[in-house]
Amino acid sequence: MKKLITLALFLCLPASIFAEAKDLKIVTLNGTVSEIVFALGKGKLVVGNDTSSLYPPEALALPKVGYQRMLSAEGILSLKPNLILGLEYAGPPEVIEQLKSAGLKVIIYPGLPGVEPALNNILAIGKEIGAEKEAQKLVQDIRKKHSKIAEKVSKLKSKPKVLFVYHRGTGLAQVSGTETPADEMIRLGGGINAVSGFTGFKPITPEAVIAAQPDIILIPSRGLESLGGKDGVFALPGVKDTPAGKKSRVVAIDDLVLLGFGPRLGQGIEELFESFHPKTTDKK
Amino acid sequence: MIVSSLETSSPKLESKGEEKKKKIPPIIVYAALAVGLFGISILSLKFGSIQLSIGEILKVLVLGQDSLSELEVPHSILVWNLRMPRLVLSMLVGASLASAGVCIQGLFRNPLVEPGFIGVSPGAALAASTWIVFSEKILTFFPAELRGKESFLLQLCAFAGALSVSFFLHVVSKREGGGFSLVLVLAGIAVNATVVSLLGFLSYLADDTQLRNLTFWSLGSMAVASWHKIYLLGLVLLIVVLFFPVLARGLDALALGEAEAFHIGFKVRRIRNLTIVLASLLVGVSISICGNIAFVGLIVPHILRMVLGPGHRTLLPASLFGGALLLAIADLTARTIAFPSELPIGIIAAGIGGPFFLFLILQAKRREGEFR
Repeated sequence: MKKLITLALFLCLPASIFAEAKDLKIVTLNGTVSEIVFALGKGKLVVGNDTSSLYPPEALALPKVGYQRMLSAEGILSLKPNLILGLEYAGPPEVIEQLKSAGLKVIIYPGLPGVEPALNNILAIGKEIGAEKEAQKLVQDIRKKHSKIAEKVSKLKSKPKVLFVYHRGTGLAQVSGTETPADEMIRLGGGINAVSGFTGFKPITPEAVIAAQPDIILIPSRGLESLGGKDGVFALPGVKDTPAGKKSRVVAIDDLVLLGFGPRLGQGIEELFESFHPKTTDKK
Repeated sequence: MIVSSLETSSPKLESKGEEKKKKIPPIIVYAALAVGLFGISILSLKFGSIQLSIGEILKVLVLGQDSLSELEVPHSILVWNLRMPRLVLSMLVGASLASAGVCIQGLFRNPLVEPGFIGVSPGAALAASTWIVFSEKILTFFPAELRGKESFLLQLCAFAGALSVSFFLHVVSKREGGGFSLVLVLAGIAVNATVVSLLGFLSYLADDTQLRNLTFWSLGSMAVASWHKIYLLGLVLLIVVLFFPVLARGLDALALGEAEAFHIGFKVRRIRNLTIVLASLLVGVSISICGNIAFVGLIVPHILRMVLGPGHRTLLPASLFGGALLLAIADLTARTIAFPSELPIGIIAAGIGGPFFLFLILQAKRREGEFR
């Protein structure tokens, strides 16, 4: 009898102890995840997000729980969410464990750059927040754009060498090696990463830039702003003496479009292809 | 020498404020610290995402989770899973760092040195970081649970790092006849500079995840609190506390000067070695758990020396509790001041400690009469 009562009580327990299970109250821990939730039309369910959630403007206006790698459990709990969505960068791991132990549903998706992982994340998040149809539609749309560009890329006779420059506020600018979102996007847009000797990011050196001989400098919009526009890019060590510097070819694309692997991935691939191969796009 | 007049054993230091210094009986200081610790515990358990009343806290602490109503279960989770581990860990780390500070100040007979800025803590952090970066790259034949951040070997490495630096500084200062010397401070600065450059080199080699761990260490945080870490540091601290009577007698004797200590029958070398090992153990293990937190080892002993006098028999245990109190206050501040985000505790400690240190130096200068 006692067991039955306990079982009955257990079944009556709400899904999460910090909020009623009726409505979803979501906290997103990553800019891309935030963008996905909003793109699937469920932005109203989000009660807070991290400092990397910059788009759409509605997401930017929500309460911030800190930077995605330096979260605080109490801060997230204070928003009384019942669903927490993040990418694998969310941390410190102990905080994620604390949230789980507080009975919250925490789902962490893989953050690997690539079209398929990105589309899988959109589908998984759609399923989780009750927007499966919207997610499928969005994924189809991205696939269409991607395959259209992929076909054009396969027909290319030559590909430009692209140097990705990352710069935030003060300090050294960095260039991207392989195995980064930037490296993957350059490939998807029909370019070749001008730097391939290392993985991840390394501080920019004039020798490395000149040795790489890039035809194009690719930079996220906010990075361009923090360098003070195109002139700032050409003032970077060595850039002036490359083909890109001589032809003054700088491509700047919104950070989350370019590197987020989120809902605007298709748009990002298209923009990149157009700026890498202006002549081919004119013809068609 | 500016600081020579501030030596723990210096008669000058006591001549000025001796009556004032000895005014407060140790029992009152202990009582005040106990009240403070109790107060900060209540506040730490009370404040956060959901404010709990004293009644709710007591209920959660006394009753098991089964006998709580459905509405009270979240309170129990807040207290036992989130707030209590942070509170206990910050107290243990504070106690460890303050005690280590007293040991190192006694060893070098200089109240202005601190594990943080003579390079002992950075040495521990460097060793721990080296372990994080290389254990996963090179020791691939090790079982996974012995590699990386979760392994107890991390603590061992940090201890070894702290120990090497302490020992090196000790050798340097011994050449100078022991006690305070400008050479010691300069050697500390040199060690610090070397560590910074090596950490820079490590961050160049590290992958993204490892890099996050390295940056985490330079700031310190109690967000990583877990019962497992508490048991580990608690055990280390307990072992050191068992040595307190020996340490106190030895450091008091050292304060007289090495030769004098030797003549009244102390085995000076043994005392020194024991002090170095225990202080490095405290610094190494706390730093490897929650990152580099500076200045605790300086502020706490200094204030307590002013009220208790320089005798290590009272100074050591009082610093233990004082450090616990200071860091518990710092952590509560760190997690509530920028809510719902969190500040690294190291920033708060350094923010209080830096200006305080400057004040100490100026005071020492004034006592030298150079401010007339």
